[in-house]
Amino acid sequence: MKKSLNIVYGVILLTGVVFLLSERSGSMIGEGIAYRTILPFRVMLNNFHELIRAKEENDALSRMAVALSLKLQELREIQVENQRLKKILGFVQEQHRLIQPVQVVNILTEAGNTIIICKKKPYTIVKPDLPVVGYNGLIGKVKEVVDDYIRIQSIAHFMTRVSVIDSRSRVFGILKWEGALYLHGVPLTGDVKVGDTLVTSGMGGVYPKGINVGIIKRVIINRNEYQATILVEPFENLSFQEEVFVLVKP
Amino acid sequence: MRIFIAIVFFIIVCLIDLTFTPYFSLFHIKPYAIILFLYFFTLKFSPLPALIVAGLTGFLYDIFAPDWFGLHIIAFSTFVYVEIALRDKVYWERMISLLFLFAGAFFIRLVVDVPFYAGFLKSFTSVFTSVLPGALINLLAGLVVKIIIDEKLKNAI
Repeated sequence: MKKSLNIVYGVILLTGVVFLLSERSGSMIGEGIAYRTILPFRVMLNNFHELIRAKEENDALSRMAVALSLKLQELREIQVENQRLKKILGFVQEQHRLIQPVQVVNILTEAGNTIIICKKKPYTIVKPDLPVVGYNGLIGKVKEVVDDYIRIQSIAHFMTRVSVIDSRSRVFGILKWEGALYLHGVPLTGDVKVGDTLVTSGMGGVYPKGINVGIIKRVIINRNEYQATILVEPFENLSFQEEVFVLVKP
Repeated sequence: MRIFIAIVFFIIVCLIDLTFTPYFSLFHIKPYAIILFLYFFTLKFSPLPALIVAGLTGFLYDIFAPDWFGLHIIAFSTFVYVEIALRDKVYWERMISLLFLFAGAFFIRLVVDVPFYAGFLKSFTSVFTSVLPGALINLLAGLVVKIIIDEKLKNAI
C-alpha cells in the first residue's frame, strides 16, 4: 500500500481520535461547521419535518372537524326538537343572543372586588345588565357604559349575585363573592359534590341559562348551621383577560 | 475535479440517508445506506479519494450525532482503509466477497451504536438486537446492489 495513503489514513484517524478525546471541543467545532456550511440543509430538513408534522396535524384536525360537524348536526336536531317541545308545553322561549367581543383595557381590584374596563367598537350597542362571558365561562355583567368604554362588574364583586344550578343534581343556589366565590342557599342535605359544575340557572333575567360559572372546590357541612358552605372556583381567570364577550339581545 | 464530484455526491447521499433514516427504519434499526456507498465506491474508485470521502462522510455523520464526536470518522475511514488494503488480495467479483461488507457493517455499527447504550447489559444486548440485524440488512441490500451492477455489466459486455 502506498505511503501517502497510510499518511492520509493516519491523519484522518488522528483527527477522529482528537475529536473523540476532546469530546466537548469536537462537538463545538462540529456544530460550528454545521452552522456555517450545512445550515441551509438543516433548515430544509427542519422544514420538511415541519411539513410532515403539519400534514399529520392537518389530518387529525380534519377528522376532528368532521366529528364536530356531525355532533353539531346532532345538536341542531336536538335544539329543534327542544324548541318544538317547549312550544307544545307552552314554555318561554330563550332568546338567541349575539356575541359582541370587547377589548379589555384595564382590570381594577378595589377591596378585593374586580372591575373590568373594556373598550367597545363605536357602532356596537351595549346596555347595562347584559351578561359578559369569556372563552370558558361567565365573567360578570355590564354595569355602566360611558362613551366607548364599558364597566363590567365581575362575579368577583360583593354586589354580584348569580343564580346557578348544579349541572349534575340540578340543585339551585346563589353565588356570592365574599373574598372568594361561595354558593349560598344550598341546604345541608343538598346533593352537591366537589367537582360538580355550576351553570347559570336563567333565573333573575340577567344571565341566560346554561353558561358555565365554576366548579365546586370544597363543601363544608357544619351541623350548627342550616346550610352548607360551598367554595366555588370560577372557570374564568378574573384577574387577567385580554378580551371578553358581551351577550347582546338582538 | 473527480474528487470534488465524489464529495458532493457523498454529501447528498449522507443528507438523504440522515434525513430519511427515521422513515426507513426497520424495527428501529438504522439503514446506514452510506456503508453500501462507501463499499462500492472504494471498489470502483481510486483509494485516496475513497479514503478522503470516508473521512468527510464520517465527519458529516458526527455533526448530526455530536455526542461521541469522531466515532464515525474513525469507523468509516477504518472500514475503507481495510477494504483498500484487501483490494488486491480478494476476488471482489465473487458474491462471497460481500461477507466483507457484512463484517464492515457489523464493525461500523458496533463502533458507532454501542457507546450510545447506557450500561453493559444494554450495550451487549444491542449487539444482537441492533448491530447484527443491521449488518444483515446491509448485507442483503449489498447483495441486491451487486446483482444489479453485475447485470448491468453483463449487458454492457
